[in-house]
Amino acid sequence: MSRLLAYLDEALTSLWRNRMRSALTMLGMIIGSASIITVFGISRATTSGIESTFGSFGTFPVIVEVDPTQNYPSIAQIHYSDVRPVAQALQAITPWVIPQWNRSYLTTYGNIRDYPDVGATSGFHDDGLAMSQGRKIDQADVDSAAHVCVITSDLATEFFGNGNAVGNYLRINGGRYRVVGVYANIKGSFLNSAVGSSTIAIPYTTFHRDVSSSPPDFIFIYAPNGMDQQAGQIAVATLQRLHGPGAKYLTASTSDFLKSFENVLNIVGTGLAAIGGVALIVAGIGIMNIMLVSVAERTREIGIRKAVGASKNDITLQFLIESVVLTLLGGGIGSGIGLLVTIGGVSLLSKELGEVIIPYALIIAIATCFSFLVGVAFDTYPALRAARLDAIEALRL
Amino acid sequence: MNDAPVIELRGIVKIYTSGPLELEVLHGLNLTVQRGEYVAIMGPSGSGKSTLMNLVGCLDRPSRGTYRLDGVDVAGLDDNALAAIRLRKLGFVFQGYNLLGRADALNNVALPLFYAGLATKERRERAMARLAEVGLADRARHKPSELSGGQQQRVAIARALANDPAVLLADEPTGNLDSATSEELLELFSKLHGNGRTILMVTHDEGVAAHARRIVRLRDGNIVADAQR
Repeated sequence: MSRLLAYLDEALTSLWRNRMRSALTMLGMIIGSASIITVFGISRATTSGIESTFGSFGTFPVIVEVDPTQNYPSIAQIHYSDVRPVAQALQAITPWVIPQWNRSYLTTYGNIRDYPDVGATSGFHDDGLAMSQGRKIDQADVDSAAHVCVITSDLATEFFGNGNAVGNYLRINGGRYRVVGVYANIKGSFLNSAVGSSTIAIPYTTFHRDVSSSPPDFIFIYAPNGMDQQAGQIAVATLQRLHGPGAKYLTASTSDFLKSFENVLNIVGTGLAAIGGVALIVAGIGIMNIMLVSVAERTREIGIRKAVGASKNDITLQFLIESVVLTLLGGGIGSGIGLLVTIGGVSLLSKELGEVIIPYALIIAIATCFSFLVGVAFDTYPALRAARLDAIEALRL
Repeated sequence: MNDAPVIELRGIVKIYTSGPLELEVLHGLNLTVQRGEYVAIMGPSGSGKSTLMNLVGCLDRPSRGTYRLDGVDVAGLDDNALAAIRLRKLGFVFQGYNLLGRADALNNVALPLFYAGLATKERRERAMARLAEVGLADRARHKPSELSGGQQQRVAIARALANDPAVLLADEPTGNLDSATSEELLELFSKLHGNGRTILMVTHDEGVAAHARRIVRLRDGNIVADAQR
């Protein structure tokens, strides 16, 4: 151990004596590791940001709808009365089976008019959504088909300005609805714009009785984790029992979608990291080149060292430690720069993505391993060449 | 053990091969050097004295013959073992000083101590003591470029003595120096000899060789004269 420290000391001294060349050698390593860390850090941070955005969007349902490609879609038409048997069939899995309509209705408050999406929400399932004001729709609202609504914060601002929205009444498709709650903004503007931030939720019982008696467009099923597929199959089987085996339905699980989205992000991240890896290999070749030059230039020094008693192992180890010190230093500085760029990039991205996590520990571990490996891999040849030098020849120069 | 010769060469033959050509440089050479001797090896260029020096210095191996250094048969040793022998038993002084240009005097002297595995503090102390022995304690922090030729050669001698070797090998140590400085350096060699060091010096200068107690003359790869003085 103390021997290794002595080599390290000797390597540092020697690198310091040749500090200009040491700095230039490190430059390739700095650029290589800075690029790989930046790419890796930003892609990981983006993934975490998108995940957290999805997370803030609440629990995702399994959506059951009529397959529009079948010959007679009207046979498969989901009726409001289908909801109860489907819910009964799913009793063992989840209590939350909710009909949904995809409609917009004229909504007014005084002179302010708009056509927001009016969704039917039972409101009592755990949708994971945060509230900025008031409460969610609850079981009592559904049971009594109450004229209450919960609106998104964008709508609250549109209709009520910055004041309190809860307690005010909105006129939706002619009916009067009391605002009982306002959803908090979904984290990150990226999904807000994708999903639509002007939505009104009312109890589905109210929707069916007072807004539109037309059949529901979808059935939403909120199943526990990992049960999505099973819940979808049971729902479809129940509907086919009611409509005949020829009726076809589509099920879409948003968590499936989320998973495939994560996969795509991972593939993109891995691909980008591979490009960074190429940059690192280029840096490694640069180091090998400079170490070879260094060996040639220090032939006499190597001869002297051998004459005073350095063995082949001593020389090999000396050059290896020198290059590993170089790559670790270069890798460290490069990673530092890469981290700074990542933090800068992420602070720009976080406006779009909301909460973003940078995996510092992982980045440091990866940078250290790669730097070490590059140092050893690309300096073995120059170091062995140095060790094989003939002392007599070397001193004659 | 102490009565055994420090250097014992028996039937040493050295053949250089270059493609199909074979060149025999030493033809069965015998040489014995006792502990504490001060030997000058003389001969014109091409006489084989550099080859002999490389063999004695364990930088090269004989093609035939046996070589015992300080009781150890070194002819059959591998590269790493030879390096250990050079480290522990031999000290080199070259015509061109061969100091590390970017290291100061102290670190140059400390170099063999590093390979010997000494701790930093111990290296410094030992190297400092060796520098004092050659009269350069006040130049420890100077780099070779800041020292005169004579001073550089003194640093080289201090380095050669660092690990307390059995033999001090000097190859034309005064070749690059003016006569006054040469005299000073030869006085240092005489002093070291007086302290009991075994010294083997290669030179072509009669005046330099005259400081030694024994002169071995080489010609065409054979010893032609071996005289005590």
